Amino acid sequence: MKSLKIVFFSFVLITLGLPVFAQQQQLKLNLNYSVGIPTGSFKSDMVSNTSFRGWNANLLYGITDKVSLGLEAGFNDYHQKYARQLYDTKSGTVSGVLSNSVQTVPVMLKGRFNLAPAAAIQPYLGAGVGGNFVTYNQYLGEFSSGSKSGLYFAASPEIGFSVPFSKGGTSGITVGGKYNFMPFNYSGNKSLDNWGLFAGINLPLK
Amino acid sequence: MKKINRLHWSLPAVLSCLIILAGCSKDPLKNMSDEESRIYITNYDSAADFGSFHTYSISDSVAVIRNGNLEKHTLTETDAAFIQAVNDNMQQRGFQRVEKDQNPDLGINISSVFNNQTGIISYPSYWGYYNSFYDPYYWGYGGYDYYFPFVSYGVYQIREGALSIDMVNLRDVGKDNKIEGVWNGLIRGEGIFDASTAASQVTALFDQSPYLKRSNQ
Repeated sequence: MKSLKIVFFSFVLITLGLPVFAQQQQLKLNLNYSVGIPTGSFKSDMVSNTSFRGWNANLLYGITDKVSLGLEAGFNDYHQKYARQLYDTKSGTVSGVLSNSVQTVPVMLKGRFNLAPAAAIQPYLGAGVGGNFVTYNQYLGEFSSGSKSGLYFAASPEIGFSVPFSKGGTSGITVGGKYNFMPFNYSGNKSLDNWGLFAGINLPLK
Repeated sequence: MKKINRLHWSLPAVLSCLIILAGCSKDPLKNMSDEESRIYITNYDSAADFGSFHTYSISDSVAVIRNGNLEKHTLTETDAAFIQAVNDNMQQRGFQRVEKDQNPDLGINISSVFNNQTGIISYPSYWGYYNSFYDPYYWGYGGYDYYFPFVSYGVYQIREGALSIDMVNLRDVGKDNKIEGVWNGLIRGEGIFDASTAASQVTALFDQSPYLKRSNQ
């Protein structure tokens, strides 16, 4: 509980009453809550449930007022439990409740283009490319029936907007969406592609 | 007024947030009922003509196997419930129960298996078959070995208990000192050894074995 208070008051201190800065040569932190919505074969073959357990965070350095570059990391946890079914084996049958559990941790180089740096609502376009640490586990009942972990490619075009807390302020909220291309290869499944929706806070670090 | 060092404040805040959020991963095994945790496995000899068997006999107790060794035979309330459940299902499939000295076509052994170290089961892993531990002498074949033609053995680490039901062909015991197994049902998971659910667990094994019936059924 004490650590939660420290986190909360840290954000309050950092984000209130900050002077106006241009975004150029500024290092900003974006910290977002993230939702992942499976699509394609990820949805049809592994997990169709939306992931409400996720976050992403990035550090972006303003090259110009409009262009910023940096790093992003994220996390989403996907889980699905299928009703008991029969599965044929070499010499018989096994029945069980099948569960799929997938965790994705993309770590990417990130770029953003701010379409209106001085506006009250600042729309932007962005893209990320890098690696994706994937952990996949499948269970039949409580018994592991398959797993795979590894580093895969990831890319994510995104669109969103930022709203400063005050006119010309350097802190604010960010809301956006992106498409996460996440190739994967296990037992015929080729992707963990998903739509990502996120919202959070952005603040300057220096 | 002293200027706030934002980097100093924000890094602990960010790290704290990331640790909290990373802890949101859902453990699939902690969100599972006992029933959901269980798997029901059946293996059978595809060459066996189950319709040609008429009678069966079932062991009067349950063998307790711990770490690969026969520890004892028991007849607890739960053991009796499993024996009764197997009887009920066999009779519903048209088989007639006889005493073991009345030349039954089929013999049925039930074993409780508890392993906390590497055990021997068949490939592929958990849906395999635990070796039959019931003494063949029980069926009047001392010195014989059980033989399951559909089994290929492997080694697997298990910790939980399992209940194994073996059905062996006593009618056609060969001259090579082997008793051929024709069907095996195996239950693994949580809360297996419960008299109140014994019937539903055994019925699950029979439900996924529609071939296991007399020819006139």
